[in-house]
Amino acid sequence: MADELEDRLRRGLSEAASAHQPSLGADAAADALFRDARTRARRPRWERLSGAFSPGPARNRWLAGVVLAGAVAAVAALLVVRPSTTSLSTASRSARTSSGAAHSLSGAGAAASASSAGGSASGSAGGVAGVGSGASSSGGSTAGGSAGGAGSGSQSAPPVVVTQADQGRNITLKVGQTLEVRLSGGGSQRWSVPRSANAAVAQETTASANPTSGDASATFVARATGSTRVSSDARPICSAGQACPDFVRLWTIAVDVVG
Amino acid sequence: MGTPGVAGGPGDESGSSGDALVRGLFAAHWVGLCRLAGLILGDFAAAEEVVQEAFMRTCGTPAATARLGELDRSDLYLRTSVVNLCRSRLRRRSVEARVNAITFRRSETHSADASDRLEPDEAGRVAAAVRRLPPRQRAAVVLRYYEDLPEADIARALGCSVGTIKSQLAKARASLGRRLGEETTIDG
Repeated sequence: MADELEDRLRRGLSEAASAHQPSLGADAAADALFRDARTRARRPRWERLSGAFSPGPARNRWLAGVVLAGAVAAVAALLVVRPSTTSLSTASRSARTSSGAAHSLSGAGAAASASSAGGSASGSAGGVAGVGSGASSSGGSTAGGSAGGAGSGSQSAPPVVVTQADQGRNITLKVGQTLEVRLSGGGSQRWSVPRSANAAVAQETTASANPTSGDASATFVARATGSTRVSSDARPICSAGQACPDFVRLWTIAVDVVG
Repeated sequence: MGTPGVAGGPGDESGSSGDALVRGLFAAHWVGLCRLAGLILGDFAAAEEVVQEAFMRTCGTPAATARLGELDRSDLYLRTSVVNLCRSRLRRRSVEARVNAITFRRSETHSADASDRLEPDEAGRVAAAVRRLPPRQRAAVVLRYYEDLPEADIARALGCSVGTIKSQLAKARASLGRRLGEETTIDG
């Protein structure tokens, strides 16, 4: 019985195989192999090497190009957005490195540096804000507050812009200078309108909050010497019927106003 | 050793021993390997692609050709390569069939059944029954009953033990006997 099946298999498979003849002869197939190998060998070395990491089809290379372009665009977008959020720390760093020169913050640097270049190297710039936790101890940055001034009294000091990245910082303002607070919720959290603890020192002039995007902003004017705190808080934006975390994010900066 | 694809292709005046080796292998094994792959795959058009791919892997570069020239039995090397490529293609095909079955809600064996009906003769029935075996059993049966290889060589080609081949062949025989017996009964 088993032998019969085996014979049947041998016969059947042999007949089924011999019924088919390859469409290419052996010589033609060998020629095709040589052609293919020559084509591969002619490819540039970098292409052969890259072929080890990605398959050859053009669509994959096209896709890789799209991904690369997207990455470049994302980096470019970050670089464009970044200066407005980091202007404070950049200005703070430059304030520390300069001696006695006051520096403006929040993108108004051109005016300040122009006046710095035009005037003497020390104490001639119009900007007056010394910023950052090291501001009070650093001679360079505090000089902004102390050395500014008198000579440039006719010029209005540029506004200082702070964002949520400046949480916990100390800001030094000159009397009359403006502090602008910009908090971005990014659609996931809602900031409350920033408030000043002491309106006599820093008085709120404008304030707004967007409940949809969660953004909030406010402008304060330094009215008198002294200290105060500006604070806000963010809560999550939740949709109906959706699980939602319950948190409150506090944001505070210390503001010192000097004469 | 020559460089089959680079320096010495067809039309290359230099001609080399590497080319001669590759051409000799093609002349000796091309048709047989195509038929072997056709029986395993159940698709003789795809079989040519698989065999060409196997030749490309084993002779496509000068280094590969040199390695092949050093082997005593380069035909065994080629056959193992063909069988492995066939099994790989069958695995991929079975995954495709499963995904298609889920996506389009159709039977996985639909195409196989349709092709079976086109071959009513004895050879066609045997080939169709073999096609319905799992990939490894199918390869083992074709190597045993078409190529007449001993179990040790089949085990080497499929990368498993002789015991595994014996059990695979026993299962395949049982399954084929049942299927072919049923069909004979129905036809009779």
